[in-house]
Amino acid sequence: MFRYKDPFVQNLAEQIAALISGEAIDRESVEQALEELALANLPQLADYWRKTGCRLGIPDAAFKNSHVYYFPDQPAARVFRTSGTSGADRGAACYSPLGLKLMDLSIIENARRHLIQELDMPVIIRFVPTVSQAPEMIMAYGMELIATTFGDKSRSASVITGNGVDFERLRSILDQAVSDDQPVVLLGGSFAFVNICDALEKLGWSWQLPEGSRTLDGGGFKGRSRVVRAGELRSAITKTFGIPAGRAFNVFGMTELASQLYDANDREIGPLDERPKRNLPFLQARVRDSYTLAYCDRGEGLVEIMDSCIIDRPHRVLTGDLGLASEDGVAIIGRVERGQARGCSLSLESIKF
Amino acid sequence: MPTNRNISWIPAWVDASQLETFNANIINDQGGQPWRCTRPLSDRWSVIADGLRESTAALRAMPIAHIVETIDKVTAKWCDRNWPVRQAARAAVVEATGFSAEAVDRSFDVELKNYRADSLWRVLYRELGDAAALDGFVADARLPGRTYAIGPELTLAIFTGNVPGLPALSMVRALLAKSAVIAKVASGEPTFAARFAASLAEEDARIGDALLVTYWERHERDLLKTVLSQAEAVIAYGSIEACRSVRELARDNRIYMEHGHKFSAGLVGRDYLARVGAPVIAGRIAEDVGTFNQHACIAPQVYFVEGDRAAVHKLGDELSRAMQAYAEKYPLGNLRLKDAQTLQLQRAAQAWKATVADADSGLWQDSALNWTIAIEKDLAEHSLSGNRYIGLIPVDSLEQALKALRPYGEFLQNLALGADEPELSVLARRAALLGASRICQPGRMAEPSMMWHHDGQMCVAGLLRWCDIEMHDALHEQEEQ
Repeated sequence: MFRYKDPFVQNLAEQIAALISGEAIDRESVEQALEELALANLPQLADYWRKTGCRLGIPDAAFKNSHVYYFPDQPAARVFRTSGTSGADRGAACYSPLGLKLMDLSIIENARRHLIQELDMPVIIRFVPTVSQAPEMIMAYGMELIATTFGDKSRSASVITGNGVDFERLRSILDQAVSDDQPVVLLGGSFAFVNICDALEKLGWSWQLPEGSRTLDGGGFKGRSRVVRAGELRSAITKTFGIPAGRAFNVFGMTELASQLYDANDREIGPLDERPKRNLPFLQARVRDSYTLAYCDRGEGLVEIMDSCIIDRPHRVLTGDLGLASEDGVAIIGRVERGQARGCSLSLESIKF
Repeated sequence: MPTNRNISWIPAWVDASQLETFNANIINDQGGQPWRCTRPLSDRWSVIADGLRESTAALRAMPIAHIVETIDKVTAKWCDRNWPVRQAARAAVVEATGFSAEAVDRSFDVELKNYRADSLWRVLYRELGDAAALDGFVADARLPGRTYAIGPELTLAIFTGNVPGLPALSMVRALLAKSAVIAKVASGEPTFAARFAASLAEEDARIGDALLVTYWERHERDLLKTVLSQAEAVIAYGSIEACRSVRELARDNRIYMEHGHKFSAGLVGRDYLARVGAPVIAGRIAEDVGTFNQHACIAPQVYFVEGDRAAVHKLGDELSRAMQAYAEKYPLGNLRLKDAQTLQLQRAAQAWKATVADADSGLWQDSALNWTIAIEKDLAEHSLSGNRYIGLIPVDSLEQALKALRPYGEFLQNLALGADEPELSVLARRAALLGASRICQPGRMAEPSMMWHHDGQMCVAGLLRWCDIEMHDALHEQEEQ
């Protein structure tokens, strides 16, 4: 069992930080060290792997009810919770100060490379609540971190209030940005984008935002009343904000992960126009075969994400999503169906009280 | 030999100009050519229904003994594993369901033996008293007078699920009631019903003339309404939602019988376990779970086991051997992609529970996805079933198990009660009051007799109406002579 203050842990965190920053670190040695930590601080993980027949990522169900945290000697600095859309118990993910630091670094580096790129102090508008409004919501945390790190502080803001979207405020910020020719970055949940584009269309409001403006939507449509094609959402974004589809990015993140995966390119390879996600040395989505659980390079299967920025619990997660593996990366194409009965047997899920 | 792609049976008297033939829109991820379906043109259903009613008149003119004998003769052929028709049907069902050939054969054996003459006669006597009442007025001493049982002129049977051979059941029941049948096959297994109808037709063309087997999609509501408007009786199988959608439209049908999705379970008491022994009980549970690949509503989703952690784990160990042995004899077959994905995720969650989150939990599984055993804390933890995924739930007493089942009472179907007298009688009475419609011993869940009151109903008698002659002196005088 490694204590939190153990040099092994501290050193591992430094190695991971270097890996995130793009330094020439041996990825495999970091993975090995993460596994060593896992087996030392959660010896039952070996039993789990024996049961599953492979070194399978931990299931999303592991975050429900009880949650795993490696360091009893170090209270968690922060806890994020899932939204619990299914009505089941809300999941929780705990972060030590070191874990949180790695998460911050991952969020910032990833956003710098994939989202902000050449932009200098853009206006960053969030369609997610602020951290003070939603302290346990990982998307609020990550997007606020991006905004405060990269945004023009005088103009960046969340336009979500207790009563929904503050459209007047959104309009005044965007009008100002257009008149000053200052690029805008819009961040928010995928479903929020859909609702906001719908609402703005009804209001008859649209903008041709300055060159270089872009959007980032995350969260997808799981548990939502309506599924929208990714391509449809991008069209709505182009129509409403004048942002080309090539600058409408999607990000895959979840409470169970510290890092997020960004689009690798513009190719729409999924059945609902989903794009492949880019793997990085510290962050990799892979697909496991639905029948054998073997990793596969092509085709549909179960998504497993290796996130080296997770240092407080096992760093590989079987997310419960379906993925389509391609040479460019894995496109996330939906959720695995749960709680079902086959044939004429009644599914208890359908009548649970 | 290429599989016959036809999933419909059209009586010989129907003119081809009244029909359309198309590729059924049935997704089959096992590959293969599309299924071909023939059905009456939408404006021809009333004409066709008239013809079927005429066929009913022909059935009514036949003695019930002849109908029973015909079904018996045909069933005797079906019960022969080497009969080419059965082998072709097996191949089609394998293709449609992904079940292994062995699992389909086992399903056919279990399902079809019920349609032998002895079984049919017993159904008729159990439900009607005197089967001759189907042929005309018979004396009824308790009336006193005479009574005559008359079946519907036309019965619509809407099938679902993928229990191989099951569609024969409602077709046989309707024929026993001397009713013509329109059978709508299920996308999950669309092939068997037409082949069964063809085999009856070969034995007696007049029976074939009274059967029409076809397919339409769930969203074709107008077509369903059209057919419902012609049928006197409706037998609907399906999920809660599917049955509701048929029921809403079947308000004007005189007879409506429903076989909705149901919940079944087993209970094993401490003393029974000790008396019979864990290895034997494990073999019996494997039989209950394995037959029909656990797709039937009579298959247990969970077994409650009275005992402590060690006892339940020991039974789990035994059951893992029994499930493997069963799978070697009757492999599951090919899981659908979506089912494999759901199963893998459920197994991972259960593996996590068994190793990390809950020491009392447990998981046994084979690597080929043939079977899975999960120790579950309670019914709330149970979410997956079908494809041989069985939950074992430890309980302090069998009373506790029945209490856990209480909220699901209206959906309860089949309970295996692993208990001896006098406890058995006490538990059986409670289970009956809760809603169960069948109680048997572990190992016999998958093979209900045809005599069983399926879903608690009289499934042949329920199709009948009766005409009684009473208060008539002439009749009495004649009978007194």
